[in-house]
Amino acid sequence: MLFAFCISIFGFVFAHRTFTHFIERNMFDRATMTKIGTAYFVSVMCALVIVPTSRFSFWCCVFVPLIIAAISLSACVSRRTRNFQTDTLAILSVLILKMKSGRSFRQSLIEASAESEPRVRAQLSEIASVVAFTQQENRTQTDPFVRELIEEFRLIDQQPHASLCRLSVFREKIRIEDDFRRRSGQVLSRLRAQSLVMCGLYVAVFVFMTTKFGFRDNANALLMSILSFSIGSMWMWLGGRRLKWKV
Amino acid sequence: MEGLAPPLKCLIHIQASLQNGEAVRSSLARYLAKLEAADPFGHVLRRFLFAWEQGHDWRLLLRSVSSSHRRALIEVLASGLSGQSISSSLQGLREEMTGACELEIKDHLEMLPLKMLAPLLLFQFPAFLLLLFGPLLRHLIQELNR
Repeated sequence: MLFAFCISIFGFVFAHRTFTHFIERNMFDRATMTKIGTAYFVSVMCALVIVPTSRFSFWCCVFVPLIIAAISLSACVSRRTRNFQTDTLAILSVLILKMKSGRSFRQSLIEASAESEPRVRAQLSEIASVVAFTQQENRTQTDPFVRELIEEFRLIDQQPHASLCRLSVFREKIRIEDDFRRRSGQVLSRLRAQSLVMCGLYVAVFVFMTTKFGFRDNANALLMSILSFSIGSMWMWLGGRRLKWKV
Repeated sequence: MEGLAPPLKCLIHIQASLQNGEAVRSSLARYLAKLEAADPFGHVLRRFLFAWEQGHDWRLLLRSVSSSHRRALIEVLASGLSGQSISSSLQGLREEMTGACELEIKDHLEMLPLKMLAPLLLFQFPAFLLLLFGPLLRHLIQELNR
C-alpha cells in the first residue's frame, strides 16, 4: 500500500506540473486547482482502501490524477463557454462606464479586459486583438456567441459616432437572452439533477452489493442491472435534449 | 429547449438592429447568415425572404407554419420589408412571445414528474430490484441447497 502511495506521488507531481501550466495560461485559477487536488487525494485514498493491493490498484493510483485532470479540464472549459455570455454582461457594463467617462472604445476594451477576472481575460484579450486588427481573420473561434461578439465590436469600432448606443443595445439584447436561457434551462437542469441523484444512489448500492456478495458470482444479475439502469439514464438525458419549443 | 425560442431570438435580433439604424432587409439577412443551415425556423425565414424578393405569394408559406407566433412574426417582417414602421408591432409581439415562452416552460416543469416516471418505472426501478434482490436471492438459494 505504501509503495502504491509513493508511486501515486509521481502521478501527483506530473499532474501538478500540468496544472501549473494551465494556471500560467489562465485556464484554471488557484481555487479550482485546490478543489481538483483535493479530489485527487480523496480518489487515491479511496482507490487504496477499496481496491486490494494489486497491479490494478497500482495503475489506478498512477492514472487517477490524469483522468481527474482530463475530466476537470473538459468540464471547466464547457462551463466557461456556457458562462462566458453572463461574464460578457459585466464586461459590457464596465466598457459603457469607461466610454461615458471619456475614453475611446479600443482604450476601454483594453482596460476592461485587463481589469476582468483571469478566467475571461485570455479570451477577451484575443477578442480585443481581433477587433483591433480588423484584417485578421478569426478562424479559431467556433463559438457562435464569440463570433457575434467580435462582429458587434468591429461594427462598434467602425462607427465611433454610435458606439455607445450600439453597446447599450447589445448589452440589453444579451441581458434578455441570458435571462431567458437561465429560465428555459430550468427544465433540463431539473431532469439532469434527478438523473444524477439516481446515478449516485445506484453507484452506492452497487458498491455495497459487490463488496458484500462479490461481482463474479453475481455477474449476470449485475450486468443486466447496469444495462437496464443505463438505458433509463440515457432516456432521461436524451429525452431532455429532444424537447423543442412550440412557440 | 435550452436557449431562446427561435422566433423570439429572431425578433430580439431584428429589434436590436432596428435600434442601431439598420434596415429590416439587411438585419434579417445578417441574422440568417449567422444561423445554422439545419435550423427549421431559419429555413422557413429563408424561403419567406426568397419568396418576398421574387415577388411570389409568401402567404402560402404560412400554411406550413404551425405556431401562431411564428406566423405573426413573419407577417410583421413582411410589413417591415414593404417599408412600414414595425417597431411598435415588434415590441407588442415580443411581450406576447415572452409570455407564451414562460407558459411553455411552466407547462414543461409541471409535466416533468410524469415524464420522468416512464424511464424510472420501466428501466431504473427494475435495475434497482435486480441489483438488490439478484445477489440476495442467489445467496438464499445457495444456503437453502446446503
